[in-house]
Amino acid sequence: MKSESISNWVQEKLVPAIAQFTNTKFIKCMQEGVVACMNATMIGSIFMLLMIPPFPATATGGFVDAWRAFSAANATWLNLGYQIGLNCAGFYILLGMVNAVCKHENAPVVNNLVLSVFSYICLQCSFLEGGGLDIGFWGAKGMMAALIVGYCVPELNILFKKRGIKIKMPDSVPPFISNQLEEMFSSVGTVIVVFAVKLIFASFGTTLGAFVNGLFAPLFSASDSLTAVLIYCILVRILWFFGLHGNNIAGAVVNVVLTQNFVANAEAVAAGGKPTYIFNSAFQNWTTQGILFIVIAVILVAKSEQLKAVSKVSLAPALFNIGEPTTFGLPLILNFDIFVPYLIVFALNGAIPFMACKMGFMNIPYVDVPFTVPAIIKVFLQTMDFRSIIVYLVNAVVCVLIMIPAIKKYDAKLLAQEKAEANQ
Amino acid sequence: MNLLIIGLKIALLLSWCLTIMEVVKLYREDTGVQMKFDWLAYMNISGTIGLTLVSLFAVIQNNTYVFTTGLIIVTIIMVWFLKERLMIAGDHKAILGSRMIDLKDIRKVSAKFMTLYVDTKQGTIKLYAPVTERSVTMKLYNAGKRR
Repeated sequence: MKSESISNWVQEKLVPAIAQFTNTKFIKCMQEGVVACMNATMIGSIFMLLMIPPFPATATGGFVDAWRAFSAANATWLNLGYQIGLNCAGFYILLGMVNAVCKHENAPVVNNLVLSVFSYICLQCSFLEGGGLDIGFWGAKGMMAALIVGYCVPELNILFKKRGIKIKMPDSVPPFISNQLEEMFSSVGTVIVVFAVKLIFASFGTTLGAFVNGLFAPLFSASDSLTAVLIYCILVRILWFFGLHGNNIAGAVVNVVLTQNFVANAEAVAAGGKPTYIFNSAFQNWTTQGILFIVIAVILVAKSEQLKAVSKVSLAPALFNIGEPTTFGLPLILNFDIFVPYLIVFALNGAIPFMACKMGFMNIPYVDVPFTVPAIIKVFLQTMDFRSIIVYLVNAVVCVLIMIPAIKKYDAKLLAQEKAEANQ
Repeated sequence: MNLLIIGLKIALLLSWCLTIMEVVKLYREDTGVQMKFDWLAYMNISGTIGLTLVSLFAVIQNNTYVFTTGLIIVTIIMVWFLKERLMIAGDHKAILGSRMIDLKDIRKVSAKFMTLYVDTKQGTIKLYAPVTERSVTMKLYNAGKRR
């Protein structure tokens, strides 16, 4: 009865509220915009990894030396690939955002794209002394501004067009010419607004990017804390518990910050420094590993037919970080028998690696790896540190031990049900 | 050694050419072919493209040839692994890894342990972790259901 009323409340109140939030135009466009830079960051990560061999300066040996020699011999264009891939992530987000806005508004993409790129350069870039454009704000530093420009500029252009800021051409003018001219007037209106904004920021001696980053600085520093990690892990799992895709919902907002943290780490490593932001989009993968630990606990103790069947089906996907068979098969949704240990396990998935990074026991993740790579390999590839495997194994043992009593209790309940059904 | 690396680079290019030619062939022979991939598949393709770029542009030097050779071999394996998992469908035909089949030949589509099993008149085709998009899988599934 209790779980039924909660379920009803979730269906009637929570789901519509969350759906309304995640379906907001800006949030939807932001999701699409951030995804647009993922391919480039992936390619950039490979260049960066090969450019900076992940070994301590004191390490020597055949493979280490060979990698260093390769990196030195190819340094120029490896750096080029890194710069184009990772250091322009903000620019790619801008393109993705404009495309998403145009798709939602059913507006022409090319004109809005040109206008937005123009505005982004105008608002973000300055000229170098010897000539040329300073693109220092195209990477992690420019992501927030890219989201704002990518959303506002096409919206403004579309608004001007809708409000009739255009010159109606006579019917005798061919449509492709009249369309261009009509677009031109709304574009000029948008450019005037962009220049006005530029002048306002310039009068305060700043740029849009610098201003926005200053505004969001507390958010970024707060995001890189154990509290933020725990809130994220628990929130995602509570949403999953109610049958909602927690990662997608929370990710709609959090991914922007985490991607920016990830790119900032990559920039730091490329500059010869060390990554500083622990909670980044690569670290995020650590927070989803609990599913495999739950499956292992089930395999170790389950006697009921239901759990045995679920464990057989779930193990292979869980090894590749796919949790749906476990989530829907066990189930983890609205399963009050294992709710508390389930939350603890996922909170520890975030807390243990975070603390390990904080205490310097393992490197901070700074390499992008597809999330279907088995976790034990992935944690090494993300950190390029063998100690991360030890942290992963410790995390696994702790989580399995926490899950075993709850799974035992749940299994006994299912076993009793199965016996009762067999006796009927 | 230099010749070996040049040969491997050519082999890498040929691997990509074969993959692209397969897709182009489907485009020419069928209608409604769309290059749609889900996010994961895109990441997979991006990673392989990244490695390919590094391998192709790697300079040929005596002190780096072992590492470069290893890197190019790994990349060739990755490209073939990608090719064998590619799944694209048109209105009447589909690429399933290295094979092109008629959709009307599909009898049944099922999945188990990250592997897609496509029963066709010619036999069962297994595709481990297909690089594709949901709508393509549905197209195949619907083709099998119509039988």
